Amino acid sequence: MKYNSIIIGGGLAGLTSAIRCAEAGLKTALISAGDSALTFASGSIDVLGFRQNNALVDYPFEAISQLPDGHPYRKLGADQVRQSLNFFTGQMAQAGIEMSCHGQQNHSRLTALGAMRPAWLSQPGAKPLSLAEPAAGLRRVAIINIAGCRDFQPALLAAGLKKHTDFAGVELTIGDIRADTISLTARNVYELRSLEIARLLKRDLFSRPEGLTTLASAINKAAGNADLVVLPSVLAVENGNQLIHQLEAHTGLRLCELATLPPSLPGMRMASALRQRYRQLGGLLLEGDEVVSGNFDNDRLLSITTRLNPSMPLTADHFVLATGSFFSRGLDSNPSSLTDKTFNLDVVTAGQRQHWSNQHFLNGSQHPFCYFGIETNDHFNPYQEGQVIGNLYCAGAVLGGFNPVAEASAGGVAISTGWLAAKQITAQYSDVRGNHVESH
Amino acid sequence: MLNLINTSFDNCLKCTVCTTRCPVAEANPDYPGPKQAGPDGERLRIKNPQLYDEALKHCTNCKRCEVACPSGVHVGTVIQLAKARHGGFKKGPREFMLSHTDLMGSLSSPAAPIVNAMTKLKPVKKLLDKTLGIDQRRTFPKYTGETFRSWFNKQSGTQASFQRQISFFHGCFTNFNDPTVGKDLVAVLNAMNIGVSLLKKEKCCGVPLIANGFFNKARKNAELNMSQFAHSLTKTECVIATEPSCAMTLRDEYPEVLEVDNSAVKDRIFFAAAFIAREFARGNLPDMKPVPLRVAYHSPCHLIKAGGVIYTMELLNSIPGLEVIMLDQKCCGLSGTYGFKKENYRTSQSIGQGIFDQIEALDVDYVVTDCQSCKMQVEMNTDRTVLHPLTLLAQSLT
Amino acid sequence: MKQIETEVVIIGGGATGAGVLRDCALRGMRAILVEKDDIANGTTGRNHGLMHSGARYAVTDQHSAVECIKENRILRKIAGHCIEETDGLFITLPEDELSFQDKFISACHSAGISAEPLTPAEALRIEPNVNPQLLGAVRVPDGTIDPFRLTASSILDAEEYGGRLMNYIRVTGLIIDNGRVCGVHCINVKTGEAVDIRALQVVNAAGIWGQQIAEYADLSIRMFPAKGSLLIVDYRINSMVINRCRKPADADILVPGDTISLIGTTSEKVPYQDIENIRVNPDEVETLLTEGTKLCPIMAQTRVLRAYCGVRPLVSLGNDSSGRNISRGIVLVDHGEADALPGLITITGGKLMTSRLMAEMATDAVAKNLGNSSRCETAEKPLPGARGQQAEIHAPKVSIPVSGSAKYRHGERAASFLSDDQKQNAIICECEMVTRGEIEYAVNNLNAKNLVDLRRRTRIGMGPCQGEMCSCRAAGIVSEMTHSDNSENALDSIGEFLQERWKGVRPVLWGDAMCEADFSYWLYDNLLGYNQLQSIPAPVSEQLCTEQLSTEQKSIAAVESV
Repeated sequence: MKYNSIIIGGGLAGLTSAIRCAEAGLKTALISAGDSALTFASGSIDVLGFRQNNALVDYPFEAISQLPDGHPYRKLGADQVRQSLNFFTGQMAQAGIEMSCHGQQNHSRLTALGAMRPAWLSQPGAKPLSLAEPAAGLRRVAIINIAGCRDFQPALLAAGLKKHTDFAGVELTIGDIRADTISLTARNVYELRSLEIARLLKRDLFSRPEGLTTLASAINKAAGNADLVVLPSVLAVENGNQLIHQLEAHTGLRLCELATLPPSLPGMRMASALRQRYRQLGGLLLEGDEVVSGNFDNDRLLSITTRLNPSMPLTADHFVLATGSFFSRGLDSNPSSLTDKTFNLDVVTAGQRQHWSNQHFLNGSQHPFCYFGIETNDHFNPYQEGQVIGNLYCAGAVLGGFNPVAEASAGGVAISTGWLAAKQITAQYSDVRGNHVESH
Repeated sequence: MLNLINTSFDNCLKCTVCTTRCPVAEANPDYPGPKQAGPDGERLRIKNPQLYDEALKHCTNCKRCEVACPSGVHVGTVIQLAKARHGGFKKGPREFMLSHTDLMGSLSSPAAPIVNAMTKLKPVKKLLDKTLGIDQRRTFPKYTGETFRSWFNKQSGTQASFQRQISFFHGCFTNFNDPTVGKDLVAVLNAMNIGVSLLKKEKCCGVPLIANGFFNKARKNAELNMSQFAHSLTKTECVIATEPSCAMTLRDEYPEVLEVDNSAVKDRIFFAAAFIAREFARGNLPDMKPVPLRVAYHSPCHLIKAGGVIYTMELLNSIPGLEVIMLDQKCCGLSGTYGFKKENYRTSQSIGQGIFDQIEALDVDYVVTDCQSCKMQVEMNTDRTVLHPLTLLAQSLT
Repeated sequence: MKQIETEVVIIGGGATGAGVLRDCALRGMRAILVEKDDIANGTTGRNHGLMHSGARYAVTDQHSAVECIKENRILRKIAGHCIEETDGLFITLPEDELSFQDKFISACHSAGISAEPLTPAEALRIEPNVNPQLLGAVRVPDGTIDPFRLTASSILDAEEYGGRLMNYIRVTGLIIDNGRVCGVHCINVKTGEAVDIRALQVVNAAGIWGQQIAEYADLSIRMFPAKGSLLIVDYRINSMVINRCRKPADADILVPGDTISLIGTTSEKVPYQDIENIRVNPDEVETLLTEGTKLCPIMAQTRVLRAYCGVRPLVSLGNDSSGRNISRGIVLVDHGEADALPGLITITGGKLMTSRLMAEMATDAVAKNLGNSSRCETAEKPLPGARGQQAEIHAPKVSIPVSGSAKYRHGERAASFLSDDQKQNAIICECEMVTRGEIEYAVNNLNAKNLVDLRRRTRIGMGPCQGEMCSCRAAGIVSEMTHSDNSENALDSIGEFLQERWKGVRPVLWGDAMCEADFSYWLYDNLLGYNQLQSIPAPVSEQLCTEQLSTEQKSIAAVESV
């Protein structure tokens, strides 16, 4: 079967690419080998949060020109990165989630351990804080757990917040809304994951007319007159932001929901919104299948073979590879080397195994393995044994040459490179067929 | 004990994705979910078989966990095999009756009018509920008076006249309950100049047997079917199945779950829509007239698992005038025999509620799905008629 | 300065020290054990946990073999919850001499160890994953022993008889008055507080670190450290211990240990000054993988969870600096008799298998010096956990995998935390099925002070995810239990715990371990922003490294920061 474009990978990069292709009317298929890293993402989008020397970035787009040459953003340039994020914000809005930002400036995203991560876009429920003075205007913050969610630790969050000098004068209180207070019943309410709490809330609480007010008064009771109430994101996947809004109206409090350890509801919400948007645009989503090989002819990828239907190759004019990093299994490694798992493209790597990582796991380590990934030209076309593949584009964490975690750039790179891939693909249709691609 | 045939649990990163997609865990709080029942539990069961958790009985083998898993863990299969190893299946008369579909079919079909009338009666349903634990709120599938095979035999001569031939694995439902899909398939393939032949003998693919723990019986069926395939493939291009669960089982579950080697024929077993879509792509398109309908498509779990949705969508999109809305990819809840069991009724209904609500809210003429079990569930719970994609395709033939 | 008085002070919280504490307590002596880190943190916790039948030593060292089988029988009796009677196979591969088998069997028999020859088919039937090319196998009564549980149970028993553990207390010197050792100077490594413990007898059971203790009294006990490295794989690929039927060599023992299997060990001499900084080298990893795959071919496809290494305390006494008089057996020195320095006893050498016997020998010497005539009972009295009936523990609301794992680890003591209480029963570590109740029990009853200690008591973080999912949960519980003023420590302990896990993961960072580490890193540094909570700045060389990397000098990334 033949498509205009086939996107391999259903994460942030792949979905952005697929949506843009589908919106342009291309016959598009998205193949996704399992759910993506969005399931464990914060639900905010970072563009560029830290410089190479770990210093905070205030204005991410301005900082792009100071990045080293090989960085994906340098290939795009600040203008295109900004355009891609505007496109993304528009698509999210179409899917019902209005992302918020502080103009061109980064904001602080509070984490479930009380840390501040720089981000550029956040969902309304996340209550972005000021980058320079996160505690501005706060005298009392209440940290409230819901049903003793084991993946949210209020005491640790408070300890984390206390590490910020800005929070020195802020009073922190801790509370828990017990499962029985809001009538949740389960096999064991103390071992529920965030999503399971959301399901129970839907079944046992929100199904009742007074459910919302019950929760609201429990929050009021636990939070008192706090200026900000921090909650684990356990309320809902799809309509979580609306729920927070309603609860704010009922409580008169400012509520901030934080992504917990997996699964992360705000991340799932983003994935779900983007998938829905893609389907609305007529895109085909092929879940649970995986590309096992490509049929290449010199500088072109002609078709791909998938694990489930090996005798039926899928043909397309253009392909996007957005299979993610190691944990999404876009990259694979063995004791002595690492590879792009899908097509065995040329990768950025570094020496022997003992040099792939640092001896400190977390304290400021910029592990070399974070930089590993596929090497591309300025159009994000990869190489196979030195031969550039012109109709294949790479996007997101499968790319080498940047550190998504240490730079706080995972979201922005995924969106902008996915967007650029689709831009280049759709541009070729207007070249061939006139102004616009035909809609299907 | 350590002679495991499936060690994919070793690749589990503990990321929790499978838990977000499990329809049973969503509806039934007693089920600890696929992560704990599957890869987490497997390491413990290997250490000591006594650490088997009887909560595994709740798994319906819908395989959504496997579709969602980014690490290729065969979560559902790990659970099924663990259940089989550890005596985790309850195998009473009800399970026997529900799972031995071909036996029940060949007994009931000759007396179809009586059986159908009986299974509609409230007292009969009550009795089945009380004595066997088959929920009385269920609508039972009707049996057909004329099986698909006997219909087919009458016009097998016509089929032989085509130069190209394929073998059709019709499955139990098409044969004993509703032959429509089989007849539509024959019409569509004939319009594409392809003749249909049946296997000389065909046994239930094994899906309900596996789901109820009758692994030995399933293995026997598999072996018979495989020998039939080998024989039949000397004269035909491939074997195709219209029922997604049959296609998945014949191709994927035989080696993975039943340890029946199908490698010699595996590449020639196709889901019907996949075969037809490939023919379309090669230019073998029948003449089609517009079918001006608006339909909602529901993708069955096992079709998603087998990677077949892409082909059904290709067929539906090729029908002129047909407007297709894709429903959320959620489980309908029946899972074959699962929802018929009294203790599962509530969970089953609760799983499907999302789909039912979505269907009721849509302004569509029909619901379309490939799976007969999904059809039963959707028709029982909504006021829409459910069609098979091949029926629509057959309607569009000129 | 804090001053404590007691009768006996024991230095070193390994299996031997814990055994001495227990033995002293059972004989009615007042005793304190000081340990600079946590119990079982040294050599005790860094071996393969093989409960030797003695067969491995039968051909080369009959004395050790006899000692082993004797202690093996005792451990089966007293430490049921720490051991598994798996039996072991000594297999002969095509590259080995089958003729060695006869020699092996007769040596076993003369040591009193049962050794039953099996045909390859029989061996494959009872151990399906063993190399199918084997030429023969001998079945011996090997088993597995969990050193953490053995040590913790000994301490627990001692405490119940009045003994006391002081962990995270480092000995900084010996108190010597009038030519007699009268106690130890210590420092609390967490608070910096100085502590003097005065005692009538000091037992140096510090293993490899015993050389330093002896030096405080200008005595010479020379240790010849030999590093041994091991790998842990994700699940039990074998259900019996598998050895090569040949003279002991590198990487020829595959042991099933709880939920995992481990392959060991290599042997490499290391300079004494390096013992705090030993690491597993890539070539050791390769040797272990290659040799392990020969025992069980499935190992080649199995995920390696981590690598670790320990130091064997091989001892040389007196002024021998050459190491020629190295003893692999038990070494007991009463320095009053040997060096005219009464009050100090050193017990060292030996192996995990003989730790109880070593403790008995040391305690006998202590008892003699103190005029205590009580009999040693450690060979007969079962340890806590190996006593009552596990089956009687009532916890109907707990699923079998959870209750079964708890009973496996704590025997009848699991009754103290398995209950109908939902909160207590909540699973915290999903890989190893550790509940909140078990964590609270370990903190309250087993001297676990942080997440790393908790791991040794409960197996938290020892599964495939290596602490990724449970460390925050467990830190939250510890913080709750030790009151909110301790939250900052609990928050810091997450990083310490993950760093401790990382040490073992890093040498095997490929395949699934790489995916898992990438996932953990993403969760902690990105989702949770943990890096922002740490005060330690990134080392400069790392920054350099990444800057240069991104300017396309990729190979520079190979320069590791120190």
